[in-house]
Amino acid sequence: MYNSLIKYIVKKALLGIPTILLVSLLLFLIMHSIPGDPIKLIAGERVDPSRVEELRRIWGLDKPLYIQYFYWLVRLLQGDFGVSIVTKQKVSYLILSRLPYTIELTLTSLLISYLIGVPTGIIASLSRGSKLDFALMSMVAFFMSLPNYWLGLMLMLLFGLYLGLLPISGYSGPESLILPVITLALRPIAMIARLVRSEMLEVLSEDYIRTAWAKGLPERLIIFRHALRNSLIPVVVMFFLDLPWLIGGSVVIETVFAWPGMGRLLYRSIIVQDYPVVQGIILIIGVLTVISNIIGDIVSAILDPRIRIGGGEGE
Amino acid sequence: MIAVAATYYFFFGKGEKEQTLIIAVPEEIESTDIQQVSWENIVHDAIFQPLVRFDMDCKTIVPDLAVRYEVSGKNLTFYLPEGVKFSSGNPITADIIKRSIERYRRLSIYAEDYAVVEDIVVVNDYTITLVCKEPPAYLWAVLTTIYGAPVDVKTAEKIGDEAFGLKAVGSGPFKVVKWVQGSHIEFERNDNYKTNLPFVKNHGPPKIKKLVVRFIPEDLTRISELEAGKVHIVIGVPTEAIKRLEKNPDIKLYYTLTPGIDYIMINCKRAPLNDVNVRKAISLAINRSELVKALEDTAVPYFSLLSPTQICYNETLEKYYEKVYSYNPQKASKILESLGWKDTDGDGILDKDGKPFTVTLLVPVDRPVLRKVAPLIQAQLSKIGIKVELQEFEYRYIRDKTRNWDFDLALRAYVWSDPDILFYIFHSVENYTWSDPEVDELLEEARTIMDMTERTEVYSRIQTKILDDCAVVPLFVTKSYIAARKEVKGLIVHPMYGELFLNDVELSG
Repeated sequence: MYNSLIKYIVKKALLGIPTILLVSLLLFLIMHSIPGDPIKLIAGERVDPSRVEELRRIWGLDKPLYIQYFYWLVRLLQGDFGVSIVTKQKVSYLILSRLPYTIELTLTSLLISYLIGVPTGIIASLSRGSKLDFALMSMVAFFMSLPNYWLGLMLMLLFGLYLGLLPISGYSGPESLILPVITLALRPIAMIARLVRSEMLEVLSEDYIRTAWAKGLPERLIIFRHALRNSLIPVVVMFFLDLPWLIGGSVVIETVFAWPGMGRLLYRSIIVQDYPVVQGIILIIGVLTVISNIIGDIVSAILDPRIRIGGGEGE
Repeated sequence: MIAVAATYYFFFGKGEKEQTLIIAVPEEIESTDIQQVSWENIVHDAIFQPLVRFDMDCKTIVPDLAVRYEVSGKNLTFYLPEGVKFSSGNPITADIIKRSIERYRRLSIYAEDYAVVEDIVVVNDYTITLVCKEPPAYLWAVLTTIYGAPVDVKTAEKIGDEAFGLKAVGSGPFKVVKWVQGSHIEFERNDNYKTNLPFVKNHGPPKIKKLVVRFIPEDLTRISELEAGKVHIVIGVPTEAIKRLEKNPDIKLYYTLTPGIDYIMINCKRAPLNDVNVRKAISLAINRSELVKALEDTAVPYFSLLSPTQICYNETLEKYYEKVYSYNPQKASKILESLGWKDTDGDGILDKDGKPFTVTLLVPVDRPVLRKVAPLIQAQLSKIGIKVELQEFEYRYIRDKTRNWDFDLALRAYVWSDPDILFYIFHSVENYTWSDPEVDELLEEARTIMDMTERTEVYSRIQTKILDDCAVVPLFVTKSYIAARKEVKGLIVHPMYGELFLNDVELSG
């Protein structure tokens, strides 16, 4: 049994490699099909045309596309993400200096959303059909439909400007986390609460739960040991699927709250068409997505042995 | 995570707040080194100091780092004060200035700025002469801006260009303490700072000890920080916020007119726009006051090519063309009618020889001001029977399209204090859809005229030629806004580029 788990992990990891390659190729092609010329952007009205050609050579943008891709890939494998066209700094340095802020923001948001979302879902499922269930689920639907960007600005105006309780923007200690985390967490809270509720309802109607009731087991034991444990598997897996999604979502939030993270760097780099930086960040997000998916698969395989036995050939 | 948690910044702290001036700007700089950037902002103004600057009248050149300067024929000579130092303590001598210019020519994307300089002669430790191929009138635009400021080449050579980009050293009023990427830059006062600027009272180090420049991309966030009192000065105030800030008693608004204009480029090679009278009709059909109103008066209507904050601005010329091209749709209609344009099928669009008068207008999506007025221009031209199709692209893509003559009408803008910018649009080597041999000659000549009155005269002749031919349609000059809290005393905003001079600034209350 142990052996089959290792086999499963290795297989999943190997499958990740072509996925990442495909991501890199697509990314490269998309980036280079955007109209406009980064060199002309750097060079303003008063730059000599000969200088423009020289800059193009220096940045290797005069070579055919497939050669540019190949060079990029080779350098990537050596850990070299290139140099920002705009700031001339190493892309790896730019990303590494920003990544901790983004991870802090997204992990905190994700933890908060589980801390709130899971109990909400449980309460709703146990009081199914009641007014409480209805109220909780309406609230959840409301949160899910709020646009992030708007919500962030409203929270900022209310708590930062009018009430003056929290910092408006920037990073100045843990209290700066509160508004961006709330903004970023509301949607996942809603999604987790819904998922937990529906999974709980499904499990609660299973035969073995009915058996447990029939045996006269205490309610606490039935709900927490039998029902919750089984319904949490997809919820735990969702944690890993959500992580990269949240990093993507932080682009807007980081810009609104002037958060010094990677999302804001991405936003700015897209605006100024700083190819190397945009490619680097998207690739990092892509790799993180693939890795968290693999971890998600593995975790669910550990939690539920049926997956690795049954799913071995079927995929 | 620990590194993140450990990064507590002092600018929200209580004790030091009174002495720390906090300025918010929308965009993070590319580099602190003025020789490695494509655009500059307050960060570079804090670190560096040019030899000379334009006075508040945008006409006279006054000393800043230098004590004085001399123009003799093709040569510019600068005299440095004795004993001045960079913020690092390294002395500023003629030799260092020379090496700094050489570094600019090696590193900057604007290296061509100094193309006219043939030789840099170090006369003695405190005297330096730029020997030029021709009298370099247009060089002032570089020398008087922060791009003309000397950098501490010794430090740059010691730590390398990449490290220097993160923490550049100059002789400006402040020195970099730390640049936290994605967030802000902290400065402290440069105690070696000295200036000879006539328009500041304090010629020594600034009164405030610390300066923080924060990068806040979202407009509403930046303004909220100002209103909450967490930021003292905001550069880049969005036009939507002007009305609200005007009502706020804690905030003072400053504005400067952009040195440059927003205008419509016309493809003078493509029918029916190749007829000068058609172009005149278009110019007459544009109601510039209505455009400016739509921009909530954050711009002023304009009819000539050089704005009041550009060198060689001519007020008489502007007044004259205001009369010639002031809004007159009846006259515009008459012109078109006399050329044979009539609405024969009654669809509201003029036609001639069975062809309707339809043109496209390229609209830059990334220029909010131009994007906002585009539908108005469309409506105004439709009133005289010209159907305008709007096509939105990024500004630089439009620039490419106009260079390839692949357009009818295009919304454009330029910003540069020196009128030599007209060379880059209208000289025949730039291959615009309109050119004129006499204008070519005048543009070449105007580059070399050191006398301001004479130079203004030549640029007025150039403008007359271009405007009489309606090669472009000037629309307006935009205003740039700076908002400061009332407790900021002694702030000086330069009219030309809206540069802030913090020399006399104190924080009260």
